[in-house]
Amino acid sequence: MKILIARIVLCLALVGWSLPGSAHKQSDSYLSITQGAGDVALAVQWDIALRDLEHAIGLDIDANAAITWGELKQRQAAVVDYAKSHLQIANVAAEERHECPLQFTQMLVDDHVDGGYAVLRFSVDCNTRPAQVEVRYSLLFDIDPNHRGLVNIRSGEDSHAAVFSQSSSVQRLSLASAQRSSQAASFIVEGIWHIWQGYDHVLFLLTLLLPAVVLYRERRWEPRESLRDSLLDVLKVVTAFTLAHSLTLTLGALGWVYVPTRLVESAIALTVFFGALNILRPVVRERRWLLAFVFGLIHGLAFASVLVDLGLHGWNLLLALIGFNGGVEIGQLAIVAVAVPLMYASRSTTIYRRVLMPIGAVAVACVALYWFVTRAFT
Amino acid sequence: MLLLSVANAEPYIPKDDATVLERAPAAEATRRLEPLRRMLIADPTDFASALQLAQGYLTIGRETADPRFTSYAQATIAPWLQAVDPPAAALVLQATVLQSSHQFDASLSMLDRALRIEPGNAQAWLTRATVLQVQGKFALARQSCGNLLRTAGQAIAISCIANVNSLNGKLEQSYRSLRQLHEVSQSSSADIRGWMLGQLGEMAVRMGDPQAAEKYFLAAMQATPGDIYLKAAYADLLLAQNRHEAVIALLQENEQQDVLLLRLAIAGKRLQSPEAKRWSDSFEARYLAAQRGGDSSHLREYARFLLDVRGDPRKALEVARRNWRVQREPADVHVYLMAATAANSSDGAAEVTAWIRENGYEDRTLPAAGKTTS
Repeated sequence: MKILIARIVLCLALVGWSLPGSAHKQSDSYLSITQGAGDVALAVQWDIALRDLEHAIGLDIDANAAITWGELKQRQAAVVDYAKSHLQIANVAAEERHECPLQFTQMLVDDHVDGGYAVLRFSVDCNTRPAQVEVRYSLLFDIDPNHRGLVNIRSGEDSHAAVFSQSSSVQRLSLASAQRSSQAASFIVEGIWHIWQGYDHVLFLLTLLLPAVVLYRERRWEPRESLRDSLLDVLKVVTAFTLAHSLTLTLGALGWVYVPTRLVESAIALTVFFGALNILRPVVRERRWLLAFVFGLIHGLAFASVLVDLGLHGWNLLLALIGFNGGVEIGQLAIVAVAVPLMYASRSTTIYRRVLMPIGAVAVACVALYWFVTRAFT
Repeated sequence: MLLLSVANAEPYIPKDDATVLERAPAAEATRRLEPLRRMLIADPTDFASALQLAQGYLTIGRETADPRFTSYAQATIAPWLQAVDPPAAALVLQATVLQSSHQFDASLSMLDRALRIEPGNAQAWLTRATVLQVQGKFALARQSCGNLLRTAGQAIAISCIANVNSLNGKLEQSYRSLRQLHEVSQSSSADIRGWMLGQLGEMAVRMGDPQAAEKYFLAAMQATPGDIYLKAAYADLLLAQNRHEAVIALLQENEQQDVLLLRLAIAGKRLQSPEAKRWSDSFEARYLAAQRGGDSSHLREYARFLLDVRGDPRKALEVARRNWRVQREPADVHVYLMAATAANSSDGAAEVTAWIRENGYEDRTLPAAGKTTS
C-alpha cells in the first residue's frame, strides 16, 4: 500500500491540474564547420550548453548551483576530451575514408537564448582540401535521446544546414562547388515537374497550340497547307509565352513584383478559360502570340511563388532562378514536341476539327471555370 | 543580466574567473540522485533503481521546466522499453514523457499497453484521465477516473471526476464537492493538498470569484512551492486584476522558466517597465530557437505572447487555432477566444464557441462570445 501511495503522489505532482507542456527549449549544440578560401584545414566551432556539460561530466565543482568561468577552465581538459570523443570528421572521396583528427585550439564562452555555452574551437586537418566530409556526431545521445546537433557547414559563400539526432547521427556533408552543380540540377528537375504537374499551365498552352495547325475560315476550322506555317505559328506562341513568363518569374522571385497567390491562381484559371473560348469563337487569330505573351505574364508569377517559398538569397537565388526557368522551358518543349506532331498529323481529320477542337475546348472551358470559382471564392 | 542577453555577436573570454556563466538550479536535486545513478551504473539491470532515478528526473523536470530532465528520464528507462514485454511501470513513465511533449495519442497507446499488463495500475489510469481531459474527451476521461475508485481510493477518484466535470457542464457542483472533499481530507500529503488547492483555485477563477481563487492559490503554493505551473496560474489571476507590480515581484527570480517569463513580459509591457523589452525579446528568441527543430509544443504560450505582448491578434488567432488541434484546456479556450475577439473575427472563434456549447463549458472570465447562457 505504501508503494502505491508513493506512486500516486508522484503522478499527482506530474499531472497536476494543468499539464506541464514542456514550454522550454530542448538541448541543442551548435556546430559550425568552415572551409576558408584556399585553406586546407577546416575551422570547427562547437557551442555546447553548460547545463548539458554539467549533467554529463560535472562542472559545478564547489556545488553552489552556479557555474563560473574559473570552474569551466579547471574542467577544460575534461570538456575537450568529452567533446572530442563524440565527434568524428572524415574526408570521404570516391569510397576512400580518411579520418581527420580534431586539434583543439581555444575555449571561449557565449550566451545563447537559453543560457551559457562553452565554445570550443578546433582545427581539423584532412591533409587535403576535402570536397565532402562524413560527420559522426554522438554528443549526449546516451543520456538525452532528444538532444540535437545543429550544424552549419560553410565553404566560401555557400552555407547549408544539417541536423543531427539520435536517429541520424552519421551524415555526409558536401563542401566546395560540387554541391552547386547538383543544386542547379535539382532546380531544373523541379522546374520540369512544376510545369508537368501544373495542369493549368499545360491546358493553357494546348489551347493556344491546338489552332496552330488549322486556319479559321468562314466560321470553320480548315487544315493548314504547309508544315512551315504551322511550325512558325507554334514558334511564335511558345516564344512569346516563354519570354513573358521568364520576365515575371524573375521579377517575382527577386521580390520586385508581388501579387497575392489567390489572385494569380484565379487569373490563371481565367487565362485557360479565354484560351478555350478563343477556339470556339476565335477573336484573336493570327496574333495568338500576343495572347500568349499577355497571359504568360500571369503564369510566370505563379512559377515565382515556388521560388519565393524557398526563401533563397544572393547566388543561391540566381542559381535557382536559372535552373528552375530552364526546367520549365525543357518541360514545355517536351509537351510541344509530343503534341505538335500528333496535331499536325491529325489536322485534316474531321475528328480533330469537328470533335476534338470544339468538345475539347468546351471541356477545358468548364474545367477552367470550375477552377476559377474554387480559387477565387473559397 | 548575462543569462538572458540575446546571443552575443561573438564568443568571448570572461575577464574574471568569478564570472557566473550559468545557473544550475537543479544541481542540488540532481546531486541527491547521484547514489541511484551510481547503483545503476554498477548494475545496469537494476530496474527498481532505474525507475526511481527516472522518476527523480521527472520531478526535477517539472520543478525547473527544463525538458532536459524529461529526456534523462526517458534515457534511463529506455533499455526496458526495448524488451519484448516491458514492465508496466516503464510504459507509464514513457507515457508521461510523451505527454509532456504533447504527443497525446502516443501517450495514450503506451498507457493502454501498461493497463493490459497491469489493469490495477493507478498511475496509468490517472495519467490516462488527464491526457483525455486535455484532449477534451471528457466521457472517456471520466471512465478512466472511475477506475481509480478501486485502484487509488475514493479521494483521488472523486477529485479526478470533479476536475473533468468542472469542464463539462458541472462547474458549480464540482467546485462544491471538491471543496467538501478538501475539508475532510486535511491530513493528506502536501502533494495531494497542493494539487486539490490548485484545482480549487482554478475552478474559483472560472466561477468568477477571484478572492477565493487567490486564497486557494496561495495555500497551494505553500503546500508545493516548487510548482511553476501553479505560480503561472496565480500570476494570471494577478494579471487579470491589473496587479502588474505583484506579478513582477512574484516572478523576478523565474526568468529561466519560459512559462513564467511570458507572464513577466506581459506585466512588464503593461507597466512599461525598463525590463519589458528584454523579457519579451528573450521569450521570443527562446520560442523561435525551440521551434527551429520542429518542436511545436508551446503554441499556447506563443499565441498568448502574440496577443498580449506583441499586440498581433490576427497572428495570435492563427497560432491559437493550431494549438486547438492539440489541446483543449481552459487556457487554450481562453487564448483562442481572446484572440478572436481582439481580431474582430466573429467566425474566427466559431469552432471554439461551438465546442463550448456542446460541452457545457463554463468560464465567467471569457469574453461575451464564449459565454454560455446556462
